[in-house]
Amino acid sequence: MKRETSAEITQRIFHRLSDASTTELALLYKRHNTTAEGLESLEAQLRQEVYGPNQIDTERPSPWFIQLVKAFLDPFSGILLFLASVSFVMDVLLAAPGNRSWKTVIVICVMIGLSGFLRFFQEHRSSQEAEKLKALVHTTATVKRSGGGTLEVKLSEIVPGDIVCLGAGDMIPADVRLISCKDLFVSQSSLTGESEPVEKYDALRQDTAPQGGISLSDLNNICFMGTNVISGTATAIALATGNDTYFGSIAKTLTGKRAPTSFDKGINSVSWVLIRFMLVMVPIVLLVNGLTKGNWLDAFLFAISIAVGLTPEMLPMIVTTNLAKGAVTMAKKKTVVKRLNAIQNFGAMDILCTDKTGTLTLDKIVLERHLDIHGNEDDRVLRHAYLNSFFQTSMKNLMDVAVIEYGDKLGFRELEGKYHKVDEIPFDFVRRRMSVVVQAENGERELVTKGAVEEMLSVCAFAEYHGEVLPLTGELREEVKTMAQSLNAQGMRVLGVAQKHNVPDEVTFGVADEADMILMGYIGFLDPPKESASAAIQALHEHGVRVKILTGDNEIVTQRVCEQVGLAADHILLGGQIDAMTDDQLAKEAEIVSVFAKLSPLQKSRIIKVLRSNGHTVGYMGDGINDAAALRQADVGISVDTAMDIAKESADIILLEKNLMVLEDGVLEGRRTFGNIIKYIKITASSNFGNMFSIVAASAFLPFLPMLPVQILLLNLIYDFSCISIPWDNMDPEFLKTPRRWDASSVSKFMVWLGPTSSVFDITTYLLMFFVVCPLVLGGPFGATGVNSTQFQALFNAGWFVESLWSQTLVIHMIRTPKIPFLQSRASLPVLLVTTAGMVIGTLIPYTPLGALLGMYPMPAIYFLWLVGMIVLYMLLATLLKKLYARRYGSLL
Amino acid sequence: MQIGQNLYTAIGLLSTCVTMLLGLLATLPAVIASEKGRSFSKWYIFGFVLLPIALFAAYHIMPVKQSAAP
Repeated sequence: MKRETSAEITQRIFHRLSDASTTELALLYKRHNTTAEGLESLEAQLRQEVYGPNQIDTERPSPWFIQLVKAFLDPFSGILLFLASVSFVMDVLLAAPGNRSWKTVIVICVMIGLSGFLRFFQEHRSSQEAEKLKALVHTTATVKRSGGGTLEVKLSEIVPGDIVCLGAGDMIPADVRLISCKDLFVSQSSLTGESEPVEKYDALRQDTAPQGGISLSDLNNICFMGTNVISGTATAIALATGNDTYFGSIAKTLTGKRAPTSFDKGINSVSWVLIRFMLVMVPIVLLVNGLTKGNWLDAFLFAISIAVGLTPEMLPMIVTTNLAKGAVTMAKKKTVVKRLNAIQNFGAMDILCTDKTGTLTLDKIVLERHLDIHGNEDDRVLRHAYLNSFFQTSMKNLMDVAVIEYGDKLGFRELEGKYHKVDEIPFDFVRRRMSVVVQAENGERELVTKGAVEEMLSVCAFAEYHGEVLPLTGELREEVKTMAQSLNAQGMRVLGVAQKHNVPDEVTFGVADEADMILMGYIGFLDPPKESASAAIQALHEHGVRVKILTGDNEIVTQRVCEQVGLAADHILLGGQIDAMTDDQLAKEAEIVSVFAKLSPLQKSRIIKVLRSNGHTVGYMGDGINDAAALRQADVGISVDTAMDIAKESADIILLEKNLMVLEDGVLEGRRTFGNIIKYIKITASSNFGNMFSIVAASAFLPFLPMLPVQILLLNLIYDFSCISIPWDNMDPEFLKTPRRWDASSVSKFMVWLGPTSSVFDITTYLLMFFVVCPLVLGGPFGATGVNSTQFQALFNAGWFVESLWSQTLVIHMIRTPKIPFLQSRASLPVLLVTTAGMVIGTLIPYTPLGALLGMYPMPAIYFLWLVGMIVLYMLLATLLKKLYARRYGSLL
Repeated sequence: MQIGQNLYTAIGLLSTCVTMLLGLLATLPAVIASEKGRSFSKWYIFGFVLLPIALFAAYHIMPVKQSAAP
């Protein structure tokens, strides 16, 4: 079935809600079969069965068994499983009873099991952590129940027709139509991106609708699920719940399959490069061996071992371990990584798009300026504003709270003891101001008023400047208006503050007393940026990550915040302008412009899409419902702990702390993770490519196999064991400076460039073993009378086994850094210890009964002198070639 | 017969080893020349065939001057 587009959903919701907004309340009650007293409890229960719980169907984590199966679904495990099956048929089913061998099957199955289970364990643990985080949020709502008064119920128990009571701080539990309300202000920032709360009324006010038709958010007698009450109280009827709400409809559009991220594409392309390479090379080995040796069964078994050897079977495990290790490191920094691969995308990210409200800013009103009438900072203005906010007894709005918080820091709390309140004239939306009458210790009375600047001008006849009272002339009025406009242009909300002393000696006061007042100045409020925002943006810039702001808020406020956090906002692109652009035009503009304002959720998502199509790895940070689509569109979606559930659910990474510097930590951890993954891939791929050359040469020119199939598998197992430590390796600081992303072509180039280096020394080892060491130990050349051919081959195999292990393991140290290994850049202790252990174990094997069992013969001491010399030469050649590679392609890894 | 087989092994392995070594070392003049604006692949082939001369030449050739933008 065709999925409804977002535009269609918006249209459908708009029609339904706009209809409800204009319908008579009596008809609404009838339509929802309810009354002003609310539903009966039994009826509410019945409706829950009909409408279901008031929850949004968003992505739920897969059950554990699905996760387990998925952990084994990767191309490498598939190849190994196929090879294990072939080996099972050839070595067990079809083999003669005495020749049956499970060794190959077991070794391959151990590799698959280790890789899959470790991956499952890590992913399952992360998903559970994310669920625990969500479970921390409990929300309830107050409803009226017919005959039962008001009671608190879980948000999920709200049904259409419920009469809901709303108060400051409440979440709106459903799409509701207001029945009655008082001073109701609702924050819709999570839905629309507007940082300012909007006022709601119990009757539709068409006068607030902008030109060009009303939008959903202009339905000012409707409140939307997912928004929250800032101040005031209300009673409302629930119109729709769960998925039928506007919030739910947005969520529904998000449940489709996510676009593959940069990580998904990268790992996929690299995997296929390696698989194609194996599919080409293995038949060559089979043919050369079959044709030169004549034994096609042996050649086939040998080719299977080579295929296993060439499969970077530990890749899924190394990748998962690397990602999980990155996630654990980030968890210590109070950051939850929900999707493991996001950690690598974090490192690859070269553009971070971020919402403004609540992510860069505190999403909290803070007093920014307290100015006299000419725009100079003046504590007297603040002091009077403080008296007004402190002594008023009706519900304190966000601005009152901001004034009190600011005044408390300056020690104004002592005014509580020096004044007492005589009366107050409460705020109303007609006069848009409020007053208190206070009396000082000396008995002097004062009327202090604050409110919208235009309203204040209408009640002021004087102005105060430096303690002198002046008539409020027309010229001064114009200056006051200009000053207020200038503060507005800086993104501030501005209130005027006035006072008068000649207050009558009465106990009750009215609106009429607000006359002939003295204007003292203004107070300005802002939603300020988080303390760490500026430093975090600077740190990201230094690490090659460009930051772009994508906000639903207006351009003036956005510009101000950008200035504060150090982002150039000379050129701002608005949502309307974006709609007029083609994707190509937007792709060009999006490269240049850093600030986008007045964006709808879809416009945000579109900008991210075009940036990704320009070849960038894009991160998006947001916290509202309006950010959910963008969070999913991005390569890495980042949200904060205080975000809406849907934003957290759409995000890959959740920051539990407000400190944005953790973004830099995440980027560096991502690059470290990627560095260690690509290190494994390049080292293993080039090493395997080199081995292929050596094996083809051996197949063509040696009279026997250079290594037995089981020896190749053992060598592979020991090498894999050494590689398990790679996720714990260090990365050079230079590597962490720039964004790192997948490039499958660089893997092929690296293989071709550095792989044959080891082949040169493999073939030198063949020559050494065949013409020097073996004849020396066994008393003559291969095939000579009295020389045991089996022992000759066993000694040869052991010699190449050890040389191959040494070169393959030491190359980890050579290629992990473009610097000189051990001297300029040293691997971490785990890598040093594990690789040394691998080399020691492998070197000792030919001298143990296991070595004899595997068909190896101990080498003489003189062999090691030759070996050390060859390894030194090998390392010199590898150093030269890696330097040349880095010069040619700019970077080694 | 066996001596012939062993000779075949020696010649085959040795020639493979030398060829691969030349293939690797030929990247040196090719990288130097490409940094001076010359074709990497042509200089790689030159280096593979005549390594010492290619190396000497790569060190001594002048960089190709970039033509100014019109």
